[in-house]
Amino acid sequence: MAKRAGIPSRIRVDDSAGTLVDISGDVHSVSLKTPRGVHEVTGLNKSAVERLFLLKDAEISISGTFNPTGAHQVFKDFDTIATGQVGRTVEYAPAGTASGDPVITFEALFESYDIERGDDGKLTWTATGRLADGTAPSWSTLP
Amino acid sequence: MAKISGLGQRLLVRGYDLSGDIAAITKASRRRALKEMPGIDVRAQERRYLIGDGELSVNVYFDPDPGRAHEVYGGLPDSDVLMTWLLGTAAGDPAASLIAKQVSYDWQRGDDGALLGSVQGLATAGQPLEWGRSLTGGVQTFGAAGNGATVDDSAATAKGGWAVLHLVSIGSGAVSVAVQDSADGTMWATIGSFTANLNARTSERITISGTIRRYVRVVTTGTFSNAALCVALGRY
Repeated sequence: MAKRAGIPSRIRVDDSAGTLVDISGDVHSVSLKTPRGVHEVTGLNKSAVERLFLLKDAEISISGTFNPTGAHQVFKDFDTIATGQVGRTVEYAPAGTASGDPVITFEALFESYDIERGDDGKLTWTATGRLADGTAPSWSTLP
Repeated sequence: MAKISGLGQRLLVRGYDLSGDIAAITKASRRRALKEMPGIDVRAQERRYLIGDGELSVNVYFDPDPGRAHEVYGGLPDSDVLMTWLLGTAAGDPAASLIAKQVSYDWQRGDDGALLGSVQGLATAGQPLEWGRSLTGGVQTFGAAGNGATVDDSAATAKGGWAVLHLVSIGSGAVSVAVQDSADGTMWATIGSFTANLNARTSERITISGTIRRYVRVVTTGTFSNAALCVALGRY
């Protein structure tokens, strides 16, 4: 399989009822981070750094153009979590939407939903979410 | 409704329509702090929500005329300020509202002579930035007592909500403004009333308890002429 661009991509996020909503049409950029904490544990007897892995994490930042009936409906009450759930499911397929294409899924708590109306009339939004439930995000493939 | 631009919007601040003096909405933010709380039994972060916050900040042109931006913002009021951003001028369009402390009124005069200010409003009163819908066509003028357009929110909700009013001007008399709901768009009942018999510019936020049925509208009563006002409602 060759290198790919992010065309097409797909991103789905739970709404306040816990239903995954495809917001791809309202999104123009996604930034995904899946860092690992690192603890430096270099012994006195070493001449180079030793490290151990700590907690995994995930952060996603989504930006787009304001759609009152699209992504706005998902994020306007971003801190409402459906009963029985611990966060909003985020499903992001960055490089293709066909069966077998890579996808990452995790439970997120969104911490902000920011809107900006520029002096040129552009109306844009950004929402940022972080891993919620202690379950490391994992890559799989679209069914 | 598809994606929209930011054209044809309104910003109301304590009953003043400052739309013509606003260059940009630099931030309309609803936020929640997160606390990292991973147990020793997990291999990835766990988080929980903490306190919320909100911000409504703008860039503003310098307008010293009466009732314009400099008069409204320049005094850096000590009291809380109701700010409402209407993202359109039709009933049903999205609206964001914030009870704010105005914490700045900053100016920059560029070497080209341009003069641009910035105003930051931060949440106070324990309420974050709240999203709802306009019940009026932007700043709508009611020539006499009457009903606003019916707004269909698709379904009833059971957790109450909020409503805000900015009375921008009134020709004569006094107006009373209320919000009504309906299950069928035909039979209506009042679910929230603003302070009665308003005869001058004002702004107000009210809390609505319990069920809000599918259809909502604003109603004006009293003997008055040309009450220019906007009302927005949000559901919890």
